[in-house]
Amino acid sequence: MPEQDKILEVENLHVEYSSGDDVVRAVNGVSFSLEWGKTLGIVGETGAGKTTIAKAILQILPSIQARITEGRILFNGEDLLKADEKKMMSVRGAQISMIFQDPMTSLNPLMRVGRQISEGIQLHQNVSRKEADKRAAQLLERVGIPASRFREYPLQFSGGMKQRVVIAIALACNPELLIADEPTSALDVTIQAQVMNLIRELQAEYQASVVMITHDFGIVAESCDTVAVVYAGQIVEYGTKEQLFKNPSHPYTLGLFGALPGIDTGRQRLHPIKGAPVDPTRLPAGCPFAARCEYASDECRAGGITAVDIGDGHLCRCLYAGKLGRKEETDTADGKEERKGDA
Amino acid sequence: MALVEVRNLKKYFNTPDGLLHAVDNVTFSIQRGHTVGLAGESGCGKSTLGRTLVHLHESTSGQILFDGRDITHVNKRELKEVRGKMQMIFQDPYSSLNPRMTVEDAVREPMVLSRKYASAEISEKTLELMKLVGIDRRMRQAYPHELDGGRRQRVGIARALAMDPEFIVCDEPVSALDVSIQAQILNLLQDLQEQKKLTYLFVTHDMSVLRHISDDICIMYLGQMVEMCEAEELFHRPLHPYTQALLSAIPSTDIDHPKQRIMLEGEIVSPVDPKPGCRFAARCPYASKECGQDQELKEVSPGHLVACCRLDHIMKSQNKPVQGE
Repeated sequence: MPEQDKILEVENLHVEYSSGDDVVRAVNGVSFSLEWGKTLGIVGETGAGKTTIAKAILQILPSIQARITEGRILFNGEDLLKADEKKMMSVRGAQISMIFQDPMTSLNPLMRVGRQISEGIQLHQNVSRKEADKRAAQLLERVGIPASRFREYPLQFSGGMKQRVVIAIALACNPELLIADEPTSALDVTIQAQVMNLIRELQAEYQASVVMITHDFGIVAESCDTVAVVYAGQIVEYGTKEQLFKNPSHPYTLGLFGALPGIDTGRQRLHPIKGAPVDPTRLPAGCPFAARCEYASDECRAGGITAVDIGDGHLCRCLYAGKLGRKEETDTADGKEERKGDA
Repeated sequence: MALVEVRNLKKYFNTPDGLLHAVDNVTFSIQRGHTVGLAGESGCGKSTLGRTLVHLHESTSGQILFDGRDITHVNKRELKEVRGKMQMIFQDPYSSLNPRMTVEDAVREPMVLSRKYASAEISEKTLELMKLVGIDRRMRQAYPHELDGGRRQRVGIARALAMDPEFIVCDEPVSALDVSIQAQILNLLQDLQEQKKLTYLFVTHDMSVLRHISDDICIMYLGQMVEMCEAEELFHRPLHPYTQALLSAIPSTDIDHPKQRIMLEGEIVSPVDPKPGCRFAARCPYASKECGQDQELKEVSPGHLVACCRLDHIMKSQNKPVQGE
């Protein structure tokens, strides 16, 4: 395997779903990369295409409706889209694994939890059932569940514990890349904190790189190095966590920050983004956010908008990228002042 | 004066495993025109409490007073009258609307059922309500599946407003919505409160939303109130160890000042036949023998009630005065 500084590089990925006569353009030219041991956050709202990106990497998209029409997915320098199913079988669960959103439905209800962990170990690491079970029991302990519960069924576990089991399954074969799809959205806030802590600890321990899919900027702030903000299947803003939180530049990112009820802001009025997310079967020719954007002009609606580097790799897919960023920078600085005054 | 007063309210459910104490001896009141935020983790009984107030569940024991009148036990006719005054907005706008009813019919329905209005009046009021909650006139023949989550929730709100209620229980009304839409609905609820002088009980598990919307806050744990006070006070001076942990667990977007976390061990235990004593003790870092007794809400500073017998000890170990500064 050649030495790469990037574990994952996604280039110009396009994914379509067909449903009846409609074509849903779920992912439209997404490019990003992830360095070894780092965490990339993919943020966006329902239907933005976050999960589709994750599933495309693992090639677990529903084969009947979904089609990857363009792009490359380089994992350790090798294009996964050119790999055959046999190769993918050896990648999935062993080198790349995934934590799904809903621990209630991602476990097999009829299989003992211990076996669900050891299954993957036995399959990928070529060890005996006994040895796999032994390792699975250790993993169970590692994620904070007594090994004595090895032979229990998922229904005997609470939501937080089920998600711990899912994490143990994902880490069973010591993967290089972990894709976590909203790993804590279904959990209560105190349990969410426990699970996020566990993921961070294990990431350090196993030296895994992580793609963290979330809609929660709080989670991004606490666990990601770089961030991609996704809207209508496009990355509208991309940068380091510092670039994005200190200088949010795309109108959509700015809108999301404005719409967030802050813990420190008290009862002041929120600034929602007007309208509703764009229908992915009827994407406009121009900027998909134009209909909801307060800065939109005819030029925006005409199209041909590309991502612009507004400094040190901070990308913003907006015609007014540079100008708006500076204008808004002062705006948000004011906003912060206001907040501090309030608190 | 308090519009809603609840005294020693209990709601138990019979389950095959025993008696489930969903709401256990809860006493609190809601001032007219205020929003009381009710927070806690899933299964703590917050939705059950809200539903019991508007008589979607019959209470097991205790008293509910509405505008000074005891409405704990009402017959069918009285219930109809009471319901006009107290309404509910549900969590999931995908399942709380009849899929075979158009927007217009859904908004009309409560007025038709009440038999208080002539049909011309109903049509006029329907359009008024739709305008009020921000649904375009052209959507009136649309079915729920044609609407996005935000618009569906607007329909739910219009239905709740149809009978001109004074009090609305909002049960996680924005939890199913995306951030950008959530902000629209929160603003709408605040505007309506101002215009119509509404009183809200706002049930939520989201601490940021709680902070944003509430005047007063009640924190629930396993069917019981553990802390009650004004919103500002709660976020500045949380006293109960559960509230402290809950607030510290919120992911913060401030990347320069990462927070100190209080990590709770374990998870919420079952509310079926709970043992006597503090229900939080099993997860509490400050638990001791005294916690084996039942805890009572005590006023520790004006308007700030906490149910914890270890409070003095906790405050000392955190170097905080028990009385407010």
